[in-house]
Amino acid sequence: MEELIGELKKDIIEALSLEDVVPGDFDAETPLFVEGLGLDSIDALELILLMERKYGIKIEDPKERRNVLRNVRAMAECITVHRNNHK
Amino acid sequence: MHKRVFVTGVGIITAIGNGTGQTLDSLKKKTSGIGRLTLFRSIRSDIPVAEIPLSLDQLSEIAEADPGSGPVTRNTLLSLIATRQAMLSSNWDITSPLRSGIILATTVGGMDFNERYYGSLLTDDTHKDVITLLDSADCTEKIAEYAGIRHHVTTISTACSSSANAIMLGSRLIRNNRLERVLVGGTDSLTRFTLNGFFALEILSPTGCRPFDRNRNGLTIGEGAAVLVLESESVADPSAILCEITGYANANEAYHATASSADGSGAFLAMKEALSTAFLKPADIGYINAHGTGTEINDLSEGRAIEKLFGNDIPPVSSTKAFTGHTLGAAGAVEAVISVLSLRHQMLIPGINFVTPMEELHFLPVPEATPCRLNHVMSNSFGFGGNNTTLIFSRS
Amino acid sequence: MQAYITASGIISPQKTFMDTGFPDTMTEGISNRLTCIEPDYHGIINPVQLRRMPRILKMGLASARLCINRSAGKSPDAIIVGTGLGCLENLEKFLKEIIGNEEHITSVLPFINSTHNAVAAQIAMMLHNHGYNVTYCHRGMSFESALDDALLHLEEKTAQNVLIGGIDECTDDFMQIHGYLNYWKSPLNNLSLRHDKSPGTIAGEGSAFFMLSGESSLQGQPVLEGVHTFLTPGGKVTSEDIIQEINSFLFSHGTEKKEISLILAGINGDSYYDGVYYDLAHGYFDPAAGMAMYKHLCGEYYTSTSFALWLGSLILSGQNIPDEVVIKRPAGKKIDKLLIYNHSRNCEHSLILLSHGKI
Repeated sequence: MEELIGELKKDIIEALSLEDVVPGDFDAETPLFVEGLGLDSIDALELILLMERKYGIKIEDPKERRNVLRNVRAMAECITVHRNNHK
Repeated sequence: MHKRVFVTGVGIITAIGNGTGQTLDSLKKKTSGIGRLTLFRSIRSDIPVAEIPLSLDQLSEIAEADPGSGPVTRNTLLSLIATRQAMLSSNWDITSPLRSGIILATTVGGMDFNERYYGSLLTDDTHKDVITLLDSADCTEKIAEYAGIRHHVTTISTACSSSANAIMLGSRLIRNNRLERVLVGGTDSLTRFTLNGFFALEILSPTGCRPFDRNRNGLTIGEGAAVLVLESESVADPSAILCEITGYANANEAYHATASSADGSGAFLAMKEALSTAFLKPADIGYINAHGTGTEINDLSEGRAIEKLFGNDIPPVSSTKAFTGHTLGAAGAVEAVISVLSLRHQMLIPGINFVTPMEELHFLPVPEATPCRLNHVMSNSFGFGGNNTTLIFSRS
Repeated sequence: MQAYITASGIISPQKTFMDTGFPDTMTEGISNRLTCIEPDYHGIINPVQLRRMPRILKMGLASARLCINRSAGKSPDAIIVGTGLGCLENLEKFLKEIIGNEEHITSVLPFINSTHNAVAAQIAMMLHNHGYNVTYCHRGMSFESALDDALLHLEEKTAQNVLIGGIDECTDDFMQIHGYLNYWKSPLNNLSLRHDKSPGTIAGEGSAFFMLSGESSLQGQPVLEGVHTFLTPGGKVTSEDIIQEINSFLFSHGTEKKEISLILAGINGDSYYDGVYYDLAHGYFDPAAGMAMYKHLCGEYYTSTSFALWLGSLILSGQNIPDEVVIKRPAGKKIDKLLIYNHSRNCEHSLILLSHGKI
């Protein structure tokens, strides 16, 4: 899980061009939206595309999205569950 | 000394018809142009669109394009068709010494050719004959040449308000006596570029757009072209006058790159200023042709802005995008022509694909094509980047 | 209607941002493509916005910001931009994803940033500006359309101050594709452009913003007297046609051709297209008039006349023509009226009349 969290942080920084941010600047529980990293709705779309493109996960329900994208740990947990279900 | 601005000719082609006759017929019969994508192959082909079911060859024939003049983009063909209608209906004389201009608008330009040939162009020069057709100006220059216009030629691109801004500029040029007549309008053809772009933004309706409906689920892309002839009171033949453009305004919301604010402040500003330029009060407006894309955000913000401005006296409102789809850069002009038809035929245009009222609003879209005494019609076009334009057409 | 040019901000292939060297130092190199010298955008643009901004947006925002800062706190009543190709790099990016990746999209930003009016929209957001906001995209007449609209606003009194800009970027794809049409010379020293008698030119790019105002804020601010464009489809045009247009333009602005001290010409080194500029200098304009060029400094691009306007303003306010831009010095000491004439491959033509000082 921790390895996945590390990888996700790098993915997020790259996908959203967070040039001045390094993985050490935020932890797995830091809120991604509004506060914490302060991402917005366009970033949300990019992260949804990231989940789909790299991890093969389509999240269409808005409530589920808000839940999964609330922080890196929630994203990692979603990916882990998806991987287990598809073994 | 300001000059009055008259509309003396219109031309239109969209998914609901070629020309004003077919367009009006579809509007009266509530026949939508939304359906399946057949124009090109796409992995998005399950998403409804409002396409004009005519190939390039068929459009070329209708436009009477000269086959010897080389390849012509879909945008140019659609523009040519609409322009010919407008010029014909206004008895446009290309040899006339009147101070003339042309202002057209587009967002996609020659994108249909870009999609078809870009891959090849990155490899070699086999298709170099299309290079000059790809940008936003090519269509305008071809139409300018057709209409015999060499001065005051330009192209506007401000997303979904593009052609409304073209109409506004044309009106200002005549009002201030810079020009005596001007062709104004816009075109956008259906492309993979816009289909995929809006898909990526997750604002495309999977069912066909439902403007102002509680269960609205996004916009439906359409394609089309519309052109109007505007003339100064000094030169307009009274028998050709269809209506007058009395008000216009453009206001920027400066809120977000793609979404409008929840309170619709940009929309409110544009409508309010347009009324002001027309020396009209809200109560003078007999019908609003709304931008009404069918997205969750637009319809709420526009609806709120309408309620804030018109208070207890909200005129009949409808969006015609459930007929024509959202024709993007052409929308302003398409809906301007529909507004002109509404005035000429003294008829409220219905809003279709509507079932359930929005909780937040107190008005419902016009249900049927309804005879109505109309003196002034308002048309809204609100674009990406918060670019909001409102036009007011008046009976003359 | 006339207007004062009360402030400017420019990013170009020369050291022009924040007075960092031009005209004392001119940038030169062996190339057929001039690229902008860009500032460090941190400190100029909000970092949250900066991170996902394409290059052209950064250039536009930074040069607009500089112009605003120099406008003594004047907030524009309208923002009008001219761009021939818009946000080209992002358009190419999204297009290539669609055709190359079979519509499997990896990022939504290129689409959002590909709209032609993205620069004007972002400037409005930066300034919290709710005024008129329009973008013109018509090749070599894009910037002129913006100027014309601005002058109309000032005439209508719907604006007291208008922020206008001309911006275009050059991309690798653009170079490659237009190379098929023999647009470009082989790499050469840009400063020797006009001496190279071969077909083709050098590509360029830039972002120049100006505040046009109904009133001047300082003595000696240049005046934009008028702008005029005309089309000659298929490039079919004679010197007589052009003379007729210039005559008509000058007449409508109460100017005789002998009052033109300097012609700032769109000479771009292309032997097919430069002839008309020299013909006019020798056969039409007053022998006492001087001639200068600018495209060896900024390259050829659709909104290059925005660089010319900036250079023309510099010449008028300083009453000095840098040696590197002179083709022929004016006979007189004072530079009173300056005419910018440019054409794009003989099809789109533009004339801009500037004058020194008081209206």
